Amino acid sequence: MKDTWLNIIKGDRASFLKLYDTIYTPLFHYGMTIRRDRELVKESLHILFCELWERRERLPQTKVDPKFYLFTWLKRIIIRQVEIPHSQIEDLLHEPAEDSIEEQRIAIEQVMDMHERLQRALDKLTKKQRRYIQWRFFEERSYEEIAELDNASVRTVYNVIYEALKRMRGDIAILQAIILIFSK
Amino acid sequence: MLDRTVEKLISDHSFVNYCLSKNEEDSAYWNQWLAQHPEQIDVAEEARRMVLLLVDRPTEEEFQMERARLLNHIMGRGKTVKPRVRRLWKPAVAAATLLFMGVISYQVWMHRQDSHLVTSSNIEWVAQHVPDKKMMHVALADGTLVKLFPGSNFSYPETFLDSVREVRLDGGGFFEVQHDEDIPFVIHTAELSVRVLGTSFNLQAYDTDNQTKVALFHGKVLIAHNGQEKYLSPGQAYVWDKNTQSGQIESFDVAQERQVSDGLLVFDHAGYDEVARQITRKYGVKWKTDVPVKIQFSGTIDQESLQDVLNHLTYTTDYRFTLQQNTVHVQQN
Repeated sequence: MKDTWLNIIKGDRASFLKLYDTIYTPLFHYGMTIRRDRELVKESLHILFCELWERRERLPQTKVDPKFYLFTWLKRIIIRQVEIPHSQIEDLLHEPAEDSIEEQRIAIEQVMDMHERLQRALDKLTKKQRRYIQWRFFEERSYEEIAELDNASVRTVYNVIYEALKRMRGDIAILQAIILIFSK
Repeated sequence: MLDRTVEKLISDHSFVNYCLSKNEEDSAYWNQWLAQHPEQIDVAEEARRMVLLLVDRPTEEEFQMERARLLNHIMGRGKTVKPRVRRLWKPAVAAATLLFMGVISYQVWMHRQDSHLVTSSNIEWVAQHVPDKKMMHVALADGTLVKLFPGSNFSYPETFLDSVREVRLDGGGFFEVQHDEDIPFVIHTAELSVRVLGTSFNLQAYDTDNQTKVALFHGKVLIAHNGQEKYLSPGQAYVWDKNTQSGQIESFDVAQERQVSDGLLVFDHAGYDEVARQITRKYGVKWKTDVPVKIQFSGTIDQESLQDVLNHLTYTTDYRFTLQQNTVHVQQN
């Protein structure tokens, strides 16, 4: 990650995209915990990466892992874009002061790790299971809608999703992995 | 009360609603349930986190569109546009429309590489998938502009060789090729190759379609197909039919073909499969039928709503086309 970052500062687009591909989903997830609004989060991420690229020469050659920097940056952009009541802004801005930098760093590592594991778990599913999980959760469709979409019975859809979740859960072992700032 | 497993909870629609604070009824129910079953709190918490982890992910399409949009922005040659920073977010402004705001420069790298055309080891190939319902603009390193049609897969090198400019297309596109007599521009498709010398044309070459069509507006192209070579002049189209394995050069309606690159669909005695395929690309629907559908459809579809299109099909054929939950149901009358 550090090398990628240094290459980005030098203007290497391939490294920039590598960072984008690795970190987009965890950042998206984090953005959604601040504000559950997909369009807003996508817009904020767009701004984040545009700014990152435009300011690449002036980026800090950070001592700590740059990931951390991006999560905080995203949070600032989201806050800048929405009218969050003042008290809540205070909460959001002060929160880092309460957790130590180190704690946050660990939290971010864990979210990255979780998404990686989720991706691996998804990759292990059958095509059908993956499709149903995507419809049910990423697109928030109901069982009835999925049944309709795939010419299946609601019972079948339920069973497929249930089995998929069971399979994934072992891979993710989620309970231990989640951390204060992300479990708002 | 029987134990709930994490999977059971996540599979429960009402529990998911509760996690997402969708409605008061489910929230009230689950809050009460948790109050009554304090021993289940850990399980419920794990389930809740997993739900959020699953829901708070971008879909593949969202990721692709956003990625293309960003690249579009940062690769914008010469022109730096400040990102829109707004104090007040207006959801009405769909992110996707930005993508098409007359941006000329457009370059995309993809992580899933299509590399069978790599002729020089140092050149990175870029693969771009266009989701159904979307069009995308791509500007190539030589200044060539391509407008890709829905459902296309296009691969191209980040920079071109000095000897030949090669790209690969499974899908459709409008090409405006930068003129360069010395370096030919070649588009490889499943069925044939098109060799170009500074020109503009439509190419429709979806691997799944029966027909491959090159319609030339300006300039000159050379089509290499089954060991034979054919030149096209402006106003001429080469049409290859996979089923009959026959190809011919014919004239075409220039005005109509121009509209094709704006999303017009043209059908000429098209069968059910073709109609369904094309409508799927444009409108992103699925199809369901229990009977063999024998239709021959001729006509065009432009900016009509999907419902209008289906009504039209119903009136002009012996079948009923109805839309339910994004699936078109076809029934015999």
